[in-house]
Amino acid sequence: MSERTVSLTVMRYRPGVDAAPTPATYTVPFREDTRVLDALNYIKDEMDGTLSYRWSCRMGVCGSCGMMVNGTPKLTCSALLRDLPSAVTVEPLANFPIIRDLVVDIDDFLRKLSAVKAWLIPDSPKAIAAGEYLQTPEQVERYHQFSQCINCTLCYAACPVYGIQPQFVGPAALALAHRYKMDSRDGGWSERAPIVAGPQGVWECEFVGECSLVCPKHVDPAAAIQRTKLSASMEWMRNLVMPWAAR
Amino acid sequence: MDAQSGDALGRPVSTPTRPAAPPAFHRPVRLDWWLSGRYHSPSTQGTRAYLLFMLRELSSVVVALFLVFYLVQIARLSSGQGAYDAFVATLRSPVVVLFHLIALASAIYHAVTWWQLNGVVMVVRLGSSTVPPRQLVLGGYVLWAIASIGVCLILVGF
Amino acid sequence: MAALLVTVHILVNLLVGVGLLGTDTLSYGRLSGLVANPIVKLYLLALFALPFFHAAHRLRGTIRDLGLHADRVVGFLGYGAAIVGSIWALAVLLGVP
Repeated sequence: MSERTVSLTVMRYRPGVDAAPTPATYTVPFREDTRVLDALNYIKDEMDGTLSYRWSCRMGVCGSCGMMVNGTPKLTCSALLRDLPSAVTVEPLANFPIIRDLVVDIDDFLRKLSAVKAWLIPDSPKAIAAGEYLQTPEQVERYHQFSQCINCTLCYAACPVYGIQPQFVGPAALALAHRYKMDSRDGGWSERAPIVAGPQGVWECEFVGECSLVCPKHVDPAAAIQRTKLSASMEWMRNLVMPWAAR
Repeated sequence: MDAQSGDALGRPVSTPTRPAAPPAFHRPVRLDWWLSGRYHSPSTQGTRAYLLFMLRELSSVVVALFLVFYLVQIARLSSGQGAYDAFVATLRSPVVVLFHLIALASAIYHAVTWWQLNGVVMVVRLGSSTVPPRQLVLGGYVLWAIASIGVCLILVGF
Repeated sequence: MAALLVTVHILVNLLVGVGLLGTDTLSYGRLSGLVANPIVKLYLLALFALPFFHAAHRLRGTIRDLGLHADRVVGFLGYGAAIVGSIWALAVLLGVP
């Protein structure tokens, strides 16, 4: 079996030592099924043990291994080297501060998940003894797509608005807010609205659309945001015309 | 500075505190981020994705500029036939033709990207099923064509 | 939205300009007759006003995206221009008999 190699240029950064990230190039052998993550593991195991990066499940469900691969935000566990040119650049996920090498600080995103209250706020809370909240398959279908988010933040790396204006709540958090809005069990929209329909919420989105293109789980956050804009506008008009109906 | 804590038998144990982590590195935002081609879209737009986005946004401004021209054209209807005809005559000048070509390209680009984006986003239900996004986009183009032909017929007067 | 229908108006102007449509297509008599109709006036008002605000909004966003930190000024000027433009359009349409 002939061995192919790829020239992997990786951005390295040692906090408190390096002034700025600098590229380092490694020649890595690969086979038909080698992913970028496998190449990083090869570098760490065989060539430079100090290389730092996040990964976990290696099968595209945990959302840990997001990085820029030749300028595109990707899960490195899913990016096959055979589909890439013979020279590949791996950089930390864009629009986030770099902690070390390929590890970024996503605390801002985590704070936004809390800010939009990305959890079920039951409309009619039931005691556990009263049993489960029941849903028909049709009711699940209405939010299912948006529940597939694995919090990988590739969408934040693709969003130029978030890049310029980090206060923007951002695609994943807003998509999750929409996910709960569409969930028949949920009644928390009035709690989420000040953030979601507020100054840094959906209205800052300019529908570039890249967030949905890079999402590995096909959540389509852009669609979630535009639909939220529509429903928020209709609600605003309804409250204007019929203030007594405000919820 | 050591923190004092006791061990299981209550004897003092000193635990050195961890030094503060160095601040994370913030990559500077370049003003030409939309030109630099650093971001590579997974779509066919590739490194041009952000540039095309900027052009899409500016297309609405170009269309608005045409509308200012058009508003003057309509306004001339109040100034008598002479003034109106003189304005319409400027449509034949090369500069005005060029302006209209640019405005037309902008308006078409605006409409095409509008349907490509919004067709996918709208939720249209037929009974219990949802219309697939591709059909909504096509339906949008058809709607645009029908409305445009309608306006055209009224304007041109067949 | 309204911006989608502007395409046809640009096209007709262009075709008259390059001679593919005769100038009597946009003749004073025909257009006066069309614009006299109140439904046409309403259509034209939307045709002008909506894209004016749409463009003001997109322009503000673009200025913000260019990192110029002038979006409040541009926003003020842009939306202001859109309001002025819309009032002007209304005045024009009401002024055409």
